[in-house]
Order: sequence, then C-alpha cells, then structure tokens
Amino acid sequence: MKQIDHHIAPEMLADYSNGHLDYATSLVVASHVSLCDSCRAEIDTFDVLGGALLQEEIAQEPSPDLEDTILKAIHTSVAQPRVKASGPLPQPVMEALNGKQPAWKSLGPGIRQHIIARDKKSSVRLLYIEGGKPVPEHSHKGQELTLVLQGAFGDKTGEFHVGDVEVADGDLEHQPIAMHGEACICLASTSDNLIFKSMLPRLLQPIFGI
Amino acid sequence: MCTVALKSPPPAPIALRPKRVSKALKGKAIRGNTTGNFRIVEKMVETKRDEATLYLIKVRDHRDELVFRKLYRSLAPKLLGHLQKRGMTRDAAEEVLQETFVTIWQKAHQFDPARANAAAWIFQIARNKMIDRFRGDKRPLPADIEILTETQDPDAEDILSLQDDIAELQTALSQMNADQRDIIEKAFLGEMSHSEIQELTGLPLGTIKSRIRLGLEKLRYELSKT
Ligand SMILES: [Zn+2]
Repeated sequence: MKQIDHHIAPEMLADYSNGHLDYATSLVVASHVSLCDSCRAEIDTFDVLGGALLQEEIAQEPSPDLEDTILKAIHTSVAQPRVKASGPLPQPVMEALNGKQPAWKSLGPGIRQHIIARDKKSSVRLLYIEGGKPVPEHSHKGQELTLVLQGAFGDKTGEFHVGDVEVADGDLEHQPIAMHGEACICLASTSDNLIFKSMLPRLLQPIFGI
Repeated sequence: MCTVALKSPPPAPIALRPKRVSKALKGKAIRGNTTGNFRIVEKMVETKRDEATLYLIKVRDHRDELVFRKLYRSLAPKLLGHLQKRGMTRDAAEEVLQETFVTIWQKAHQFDPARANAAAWIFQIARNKMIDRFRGDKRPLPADIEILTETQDPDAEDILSLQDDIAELQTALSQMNADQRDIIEKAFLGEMSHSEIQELTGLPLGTIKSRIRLGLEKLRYELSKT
C-alpha cells in the first residue's frame, strides 16, 4: 500500500460507522477506507468495542422456530456477489456505478465529470482532470470531501496523491490544480452533512430516554 | 458528547502483557487453511477463550451446520436484545437476526481472526443491516478484503495476541457497573473516536488498533506477492 498522508478524522469515521453520514459523504469515506489500512483499523477497532458491548447485553430469547428457519434459509438464499473494483475505481465506487464504467461529460478543456448521485443537499461525482488543469469547485457551502483515485492534485494546503482525501468546509479558499503527469481522477462529495443527523434521535431514543 | 464523565472512576487501564516479539514478515500470513488453523483452534480451546470465535472459524473451515447452530445459540439472544434496545420492534429485530446469520454463513470465508473476533465481526454485519433499514438506502461499504486460503502456517501468534487483547477489553467491560457501560455505549453511538473513548475509560483500544493494522499490513504484503 502506498503511503497515505491525508485521512478522514476519527470522529467522522465513527459517524460513518453509526450510519450518520449521508450517502454522498459515506461513499467517499467507504472509498478512502478501502484504500487506507489506518482508517480501516480505526473502524475495525470501533467494531471490536461494539462486539464487546454486545457481549454485555441482556439476552432476549428469539422465537423458538427462528433457528430452524435460518438453517433452511442458508440453503435457499443465494449470496449476491459484490461488484468488483475496476482500475483506479475501488469497489464501493463500482457498486455505486452498478458495475458500469463512468460516462464522462466534458466540463471544459481537459476536465470531465460523472455525477453518481445528487439531491438538494448533497452530491457525489467522479472528476477527471488533465495535468495542470484546475479541479472544478463543486460547492460553496457545506462540507466537501475530495479523494484522489489516480494521479495527484495540489493546492496551498499541500499535495494529495492516491488514497489521500481533502476535507474542506465551504469557506476554505483554495484552488486545487491537477499535477502534471497522469490525469487526476477524484471522487468528490459535497454535503450539508446534516441529513442523517435527524435520524440520530430515533436511533438513540431508547438509550437516552428522550 | 465529549464532556461526559464517568460517575465513578473507571477501572485502571489494564497492564498489557509484554508484547511478544513479532516475527518478521516471513510470509504466509495465511489464515484460511484447515491444517494451519487446527493449531490455532486447539490453542484457543486450551485456554478456553472465546467460544463464538472458535465456532466461527469452524464454520468457515468446515461448513459445519451443527457448529453454526452453536454459534447462533451463543450470540443470537444478545444480538436480539441489542437490536431491540436500539429501537427495533421484535419482528424487525428477528428479521435482521435472520439476515445477519444467513450473511454469516455466506461470508464466513472473509472472517479473519487476526483482525476481529466473532462478536465484532457479527456485530458489524447486524449493525449495517439495522442501519440500512432505518435509512432505507444502501449505505456504501468498504471493499472486501479476500483472505488467502492456500498456504499453510497462519500467524498464530498474531491471532492469539489480538484475541487476548479483546478478552482483556471484555473483562474490563464486564467489571464495570451498568451505568458506566451505559456511558461508554452512548459515547460509542455518538461521535467519539476510539482514542477519545480510550481516554475517557482507560479501555485498551489503542493496542487493539495497532494489532488490527499489523494484521492488515501482513495480509496486504502476502496478497501483493500472489
Ligand atoms: Zn485514512
């Protein structure tokens, strides 16, 4: 694995694990984790704690026939194989594309994009930028995550190579430029990041008693 | 979230055993081989550690339905309790339980005891299914890591070290009172990183992260050679 210098903050990884991030942001986080052993170890550690807490739970006996139902189901249900990674595009991105290659649309000379998903509050897209061209800005508000999948880009905050992710708030003034050499392919999300916060009380209600 | 304080002091951080000298990357970080795993399974039985992990390894390597039933009986009741506590109706929780155990059977070949124990691996499967239900979408998941199954000599020491550390974590949690565990659970379900939880509680999570990372690196190294 190549050295990765720019990671997802552990708190955001925890949010991801708990299902609190919207689809667009989750896709970038899942893709970074696919490339980054350090962040994967962070979320795996989180799961170890979850498993340990699980062992301390008060047991509830399942319905007596559930065990046999499951034993029947393992013979009848067929596992859906996951779509495989393809070239620079990691498995979660290829799944989001339903296994198809991106259909690039030109945004100007040397710059193309493929929008994977977009709604009122968030979007996630692939960007293809030839060396020396600017990475197009995708939003002026909310939070932007930009993950490098091929090539590299740089701005005044530093250089970003394959696996690196830049997390920027809308007010960060920066103009990333694709570095010379191989074209830069990025996965970029923009989000107000609050969509699934509204789900949080519902999930936590029984615990917090609110 | 970050200002929660324990009502009574947490148990002192547990002194870790001196680290075993890790073998150099001598290759063969292979974990799926029946012959090789036999030793690990035996060692785990000897020390009467984590039954569920033992069952899961046997399910993975032998596709044994009787052992699969034992695995179900050892974890399903707690999982059902957990899902209902998280706000699911009993019917929905049992559906998630069923989907979870079918997935366990189908994906057992991906279980790597150098990176998780059975409770952690099964917890994340169930949690992901629960979240998908609450959200009504398919949340993107990280890429699968295929483990190798051909060569022999799994890195038994790495596996046992991680399983030991997890057992210590379990002991520390079980020695807490319900209020203390409740606070950890709230922190866990909030936005705290494992290092913040470690700071708050003294639970030895940093060591576990280091071991999981080592397990990943060794596996990548092996995969890069094939
Ligand atoms: Zn990372």
